[in-house]
Amino acid sequence: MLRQLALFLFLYQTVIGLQPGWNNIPAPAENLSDYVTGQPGIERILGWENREWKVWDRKNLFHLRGFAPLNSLKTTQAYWIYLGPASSLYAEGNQGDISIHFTLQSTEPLNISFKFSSDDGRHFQPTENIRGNLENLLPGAYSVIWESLKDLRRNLENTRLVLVATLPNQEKFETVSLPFRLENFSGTEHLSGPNITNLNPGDRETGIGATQAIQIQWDRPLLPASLEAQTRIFCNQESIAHTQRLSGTLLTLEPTFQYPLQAECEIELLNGILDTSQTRLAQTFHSVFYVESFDQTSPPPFPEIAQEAWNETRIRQILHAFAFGGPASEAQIQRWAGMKPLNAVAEILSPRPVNPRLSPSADYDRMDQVFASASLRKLSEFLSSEASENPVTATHRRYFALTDWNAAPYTWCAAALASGLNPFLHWLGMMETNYHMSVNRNVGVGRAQILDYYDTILAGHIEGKPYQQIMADAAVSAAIAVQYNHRRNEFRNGVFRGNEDFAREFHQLFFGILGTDEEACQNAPSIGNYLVHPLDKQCQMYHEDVTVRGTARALSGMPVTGDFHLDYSISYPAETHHTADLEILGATISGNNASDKIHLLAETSILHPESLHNLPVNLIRMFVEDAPDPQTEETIRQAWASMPTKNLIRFLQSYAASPLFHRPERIKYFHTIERVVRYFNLSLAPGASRWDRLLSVVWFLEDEGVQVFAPSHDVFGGQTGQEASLSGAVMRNHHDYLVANPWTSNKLGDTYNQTEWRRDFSALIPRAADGTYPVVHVAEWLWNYLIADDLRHFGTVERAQVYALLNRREDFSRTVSPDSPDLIYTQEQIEDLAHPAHQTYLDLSRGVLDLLGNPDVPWYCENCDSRNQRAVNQRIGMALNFIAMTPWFFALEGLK
Amino acid sequence: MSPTRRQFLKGLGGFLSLSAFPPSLHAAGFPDLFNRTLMHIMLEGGPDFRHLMVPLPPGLAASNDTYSQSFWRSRASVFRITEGNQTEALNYFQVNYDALEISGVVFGILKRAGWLKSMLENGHAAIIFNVIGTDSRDHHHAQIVWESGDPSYSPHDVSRPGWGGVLSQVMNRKLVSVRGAPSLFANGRHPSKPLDHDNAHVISAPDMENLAFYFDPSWFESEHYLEPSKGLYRALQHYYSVTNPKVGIQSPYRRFFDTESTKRLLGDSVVRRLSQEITPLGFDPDSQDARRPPEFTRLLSGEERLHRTDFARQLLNAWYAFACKDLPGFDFNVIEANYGGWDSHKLQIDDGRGIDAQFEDLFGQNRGLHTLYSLLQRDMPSSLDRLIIMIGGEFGRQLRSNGDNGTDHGRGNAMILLGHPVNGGFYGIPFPSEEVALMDQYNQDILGRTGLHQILRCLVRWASGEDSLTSQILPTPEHELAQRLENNAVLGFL
Repeated sequence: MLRQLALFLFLYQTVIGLQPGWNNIPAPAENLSDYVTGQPGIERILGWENREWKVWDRKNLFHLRGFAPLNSLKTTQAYWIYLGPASSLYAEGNQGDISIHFTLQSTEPLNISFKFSSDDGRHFQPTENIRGNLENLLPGAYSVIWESLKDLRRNLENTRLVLVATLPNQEKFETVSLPFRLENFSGTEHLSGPNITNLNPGDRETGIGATQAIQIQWDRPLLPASLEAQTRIFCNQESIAHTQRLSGTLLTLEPTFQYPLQAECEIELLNGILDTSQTRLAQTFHSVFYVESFDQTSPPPFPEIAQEAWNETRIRQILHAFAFGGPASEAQIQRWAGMKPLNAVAEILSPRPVNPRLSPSADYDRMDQVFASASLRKLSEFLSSEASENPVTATHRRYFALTDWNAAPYTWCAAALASGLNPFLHWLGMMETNYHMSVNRNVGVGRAQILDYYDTILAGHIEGKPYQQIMADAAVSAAIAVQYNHRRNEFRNGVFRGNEDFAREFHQLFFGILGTDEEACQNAPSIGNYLVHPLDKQCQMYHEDVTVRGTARALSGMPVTGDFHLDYSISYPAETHHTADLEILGATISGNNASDKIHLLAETSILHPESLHNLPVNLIRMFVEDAPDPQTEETIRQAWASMPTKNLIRFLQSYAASPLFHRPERIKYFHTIERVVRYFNLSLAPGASRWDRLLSVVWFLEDEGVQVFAPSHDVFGGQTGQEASLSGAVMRNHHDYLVANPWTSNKLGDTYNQTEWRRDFSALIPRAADGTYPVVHVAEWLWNYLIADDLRHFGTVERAQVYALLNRREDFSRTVSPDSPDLIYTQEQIEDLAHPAHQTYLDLSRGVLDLLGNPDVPWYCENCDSRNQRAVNQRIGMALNFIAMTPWFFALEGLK
Repeated sequence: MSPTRRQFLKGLGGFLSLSAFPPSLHAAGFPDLFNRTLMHIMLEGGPDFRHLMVPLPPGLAASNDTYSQSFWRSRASVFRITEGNQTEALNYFQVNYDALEISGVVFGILKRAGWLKSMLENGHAAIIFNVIGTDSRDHHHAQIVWESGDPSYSPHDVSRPGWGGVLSQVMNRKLVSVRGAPSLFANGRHPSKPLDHDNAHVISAPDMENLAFYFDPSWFESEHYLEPSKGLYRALQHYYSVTNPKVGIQSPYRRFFDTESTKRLLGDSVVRRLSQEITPLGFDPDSQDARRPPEFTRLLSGEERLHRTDFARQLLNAWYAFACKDLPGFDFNVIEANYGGWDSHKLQIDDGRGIDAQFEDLFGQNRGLHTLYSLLQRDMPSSLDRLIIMIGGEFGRQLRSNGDNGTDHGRGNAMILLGHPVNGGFYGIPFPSEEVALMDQYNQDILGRTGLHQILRCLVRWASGEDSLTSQILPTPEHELAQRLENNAVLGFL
């Protein structure tokens, strides 16, 4: 059917010719050069060859320069061809009034207009300064005049013009000119363009610091008053407040606060700027710059790993530890490996709602565009809606609605797995809400409350709030008030009623303050006001009698009403709050309501000696490293203490880029959520839809007794990595699922929610230097992709099995001895030159995979030979599952 | 069609029954030789044993019993009675508690804990009062101390050895963990890293019926799908068997090889034992699955199921473990289980769903432990002569209830030991008179008079059978809490 359609299109377009705009047609039976010479209106041609786009571009546009060149046309293949409305568009002259010549080809009358660019086509502005007939033009050759001095009073190397043609049906098509030189500035009548002296405009790789001033050098003194409202800075389309200082010919712009990290920014100098002789800036001046990824406003808390030690495997380690494996593309990982470690990590562990560098968007859903948010509440609404962009099939949408009992875990799994969002952020959100500041849907916390709680915490991280304020926001949330039931804490008529559960856990679980430091309370105002049993310790009893008691009162007046699952509200009325000052942690805590007091208390808590001692170690231990030794713990504490503002993401970024994280002794055992999501994330990466696997992920977790937002230790957190690593049930479940689903998905592709996806390992696995896919090369890449150990554990025995699975779709023993597949071959036998297993091993290692198979055959082509690529997918799927069931997948060890 | 795995095992079992049936099995297929075994049940969250066992209320207690008056007044909100209303207290007691005299103390025990009452009456239950592990009221830290037996452990010592694991390790036996995952209690000592542990002795058995790796050809629609799974199954089996001996104890990955080898070595024999060799009364003879006693099915599902069915499953797995005790490689001397949900800050009673219901799960007639105990007595009677069940939590609750009908964290608590080897009775003062004054104050708790360590040493001495091993297994730390012993009394519960 598809071929018939292609044939029809070909015949149709051959008969009636190319239409203005993009045409998708099979190539003509002539060579490329002849074809484009005979069709001067063709602007550019795009072809998909050997797994990449290739481009022929008549006008050498800057945004197409990175593509491989298209040098020939294949008649067996279709191409995208852009036909402009005009051919032979060119400018004559380079000063003042410039003649524009063009030939229109349309059979219909056209209206035309023009735009110009001063920067080789990066930005265009419309111009009204055209003389000549612009309306109802029939096919033929025309000339008009561009009064260029009215638009550009500068000397420019790369000026371009664009002719915009409007058809009677209001469709618009454009033809761009080749660049030409403009010489509109004689040096006397207009102020020339300035030079930015301390950054390289447009340089993505070396962004500037978040607070760095920008220095702009002019060739003459400026009139200070003329700068008023004439300088603007935008970052990510948001205006940035800044100050400006003029010193002679040097103008300095400085952000009032700072630029957002990792932002694309633009300086705009408006043409109202005058020099001291009242000469006006010739034009509005634009310059793009990029902000460094890592926040250098204060020194990084951990030392940075040496550049020479920084490599792709270390990046994979970070992806595995913090972001469910990513999965970033191979090219992206290489790019990060070439960057300064801190900046690379800041891009990987970015707090942005979406991070396409870490998790590239998929064609089948384009989540980065249709849902560019980190909010689970919004995601729940989106995935349960009838929106046309909703990637979930209609029958499954109800699972994400708040009316469904499992809406919260389903929605989180969707957020963590979806391509094009930010897996690091959702890893962090899960760890915060299921481990550090746990809430449990099985004890009455409503679904809407859980999602809002999660969103509140992530919003704080995205905004860059100090960590103590994020914890305070969490502490006064409805989810926590219901979890611990202090929503019922009241203070009326001098009498307190309520519990002190969270009053204790706010300190212990959130901040790491146990009340056991016998020096921490010595200066507290009320330290001598009560008796302590001879067997008790003074500060410990101060903590119990004063701090916990006071915090329980600080939490009074926090009622939660409404339907906890759907529509609830929380308020902080003063009427039921202990409005008088309270002594907590030796400080006086004021505030007219619970929220004010808790937010103020958090500022004291974060600086408490026990918090400084315990919190950073708790976080690293909980999140990344199971058992740091005492020396490492001390390093972690010092790093945390060195941060003037406690920013958790910045702390994790610095840790991930430090020699401490990358030391060989570090071990992280993955808990079930991390392991399962990582497995699916990586195994589905070659283009398979995540949406039709989503329920499998939830069920997989439940089979191991794990549910997101129902931590097995309630407020003390979910199943730990240590527990998972010792559980026979976890290993069995993982083993049985992987064995029963030997290639994860046997499909080359499928249709889900009326959208096609295709599973293509060749888009994931890079080729060897010779352009092929040797078995050894694929095996080693897969191993590092899943294990990230620089092949340390990929020894002879592992290789034997992976080579056999890739070559033969069967295990090594059966390959060596088909009639006795239960014979087991040891490493020594495989390495023994005289043993038959050795020869088989050698043969297998010489194999080459045909990863490309026959890509032009659609996956649903029943009568076509698609077995080739399917078989390749099966082999890789088996190898992938084998690797994922080795012990090395269950934990992550620092590189040796 | 290929035989299913279960059919295959059934055939193999028939063969084994003729040729190599273990001689220790009697007619019902159960082992009958048992060594001393300790079952540790951790009640996570801090159980309020002062709710399980209460002083008589005013009206039943002596008129000058000030403890009774203070107790029922200071805890009125838990019972949802009017503070100071003695009639309501009496009524509440009569509805919910039975009076009982043990070791000369008359007190009330929850009616829903009927089996515990009978164990006390029969002298098979010892209650040790005023026990303290740590003076920390932090759940996490207190659990570490409880499971390690060492009050000097810090909150960060999450990977160090536990006393149960060391007990098994030194005795060269196994520890069976029927929890979702083994706890710190199960950790053995690492040969070279004091802050780390070794778990080669642990059998993680949260699902004994499915202890083996499972590979059922019926999963697959066709040979086309089956063959790759067979290949993958075999590749992994061979890989682990070849690699296992080469991965040393120092490797952080050693534990995965241990778990895998346990499942491979024990899995099939356990599944065969449970599905073919034992014959508990009333099991479904047509079932090819494990022969599960219907008494446990009743606890797991249906109207009579426990409030916490995960605990029922742990008890079933414990019973299965006893039924497999004689299998090579399965000789355990410690079992660990847990029961969470005791952090009763709010609604301690909660209309039948609070800790009353949880105590009933544990101690009710024909409920959890009674069922396990009865079935052991019926099927493996000699096991009871060598079994002690230890029940406790990381700390107790405060003396006064809070304004949320619950109780907040305390420190001291009781510990319950059950079993035929136990000298039943009360050890320590159940209701210390000095608490009378404290009950009117905020934030007061049970004073810890006996260090947890002292009790654990007695248990370890009993379980190991040798005094010389006790110090090796559980060296006494210098920490003051480890030294405490109420009135310096000798603990005579064993």
